[in-house]
Amino acid sequence: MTETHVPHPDSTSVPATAPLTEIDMVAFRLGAQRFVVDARQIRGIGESTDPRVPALAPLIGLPMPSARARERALQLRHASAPETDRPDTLHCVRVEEPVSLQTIPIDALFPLPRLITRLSTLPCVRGLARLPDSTGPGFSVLLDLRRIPAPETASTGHAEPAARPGPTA
Amino acid sequence: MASDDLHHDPRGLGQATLRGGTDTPGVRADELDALLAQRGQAARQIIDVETARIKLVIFVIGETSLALRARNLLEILPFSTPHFVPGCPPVIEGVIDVRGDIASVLRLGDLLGLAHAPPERGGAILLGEAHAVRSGLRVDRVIDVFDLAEEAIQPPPDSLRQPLRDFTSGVFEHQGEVVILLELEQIFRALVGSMDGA
Repeated sequence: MTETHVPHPDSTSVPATAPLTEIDMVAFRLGAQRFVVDARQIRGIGESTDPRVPALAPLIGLPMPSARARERALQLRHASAPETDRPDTLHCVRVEEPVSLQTIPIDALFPLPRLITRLSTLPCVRGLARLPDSTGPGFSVLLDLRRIPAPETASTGHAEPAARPGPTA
Repeated sequence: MASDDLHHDPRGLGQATLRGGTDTPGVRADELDALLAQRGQAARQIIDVETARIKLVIFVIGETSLALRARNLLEILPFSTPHFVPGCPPVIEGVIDVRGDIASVLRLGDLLGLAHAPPERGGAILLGEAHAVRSGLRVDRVIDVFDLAEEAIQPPPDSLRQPLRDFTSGVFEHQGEVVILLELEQIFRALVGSMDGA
């Protein structure tokens, strides 16, 4: 059993006034698409054996992952305690491997074009990122997991994944 | 010499001419001035016609010839498969990388009610800007970039169907084909403006 703890970037020694030049992102796949989320929104990465944990793909309109896909569970870190008490708050979602922690320069982040901002039905899609290890053209979609629509019928993933968080890295 | 034989230069240069001298026989100097003024006006009209030409980019979607004003187009790019972005309506195909910047790609045919040709037949993306929106516009083939006299543009025919008609300002003939002139401003306003009140 493996469990990765994602350190909270707010606890780093970087002064608050220093201009941000890089940002830590957790990268993963959903089908053929690559995604990234701000690492500050992730509390941990664990194995995904709990069927109550919802898959992220259908929550953002993508097909369910194939049965062969190897998945991991992202434990979400929410900003405030009252928010985590809400029953519709997502606490954990399943994504496909490989899951990695990457530091990318700020200028590799792109806001959505205005047309997409105005017409998108998913407020959780915030932009695009060009990962440094990207091979060939293409982008990763930048998600804000705090804005993921809660599943209508499935569990909100409040249950912890089967793997409990391991020691802090 | 009688004083009424002297005719002052209307340009006020202090020169005088004799009737029957340099003047055309039978044409009074003021009549000649009027003729010259008329000719000058004609010359200006020719210049006006030249300035009334507009540069257009003509392209095809399916079997329909269309055009956009070049002033609304920043670039003509070869077609490259857009990167899908979840949550977009079908009319937005995705995004492309334009030399390090990101641009959305609009399926123009879908918006106009025209069927696109299969992408393997080649195509182009017109990078357009209007109504504070910059976006790529997928087209099947670019035909020509040329100047057209504005007077050659006729009003849209009544037979033009919706939704194409909403975005058409006129039609004209080019190489024997009827070309529909689209207004990018109206296209982007319809897309973005429709969400303003939401």
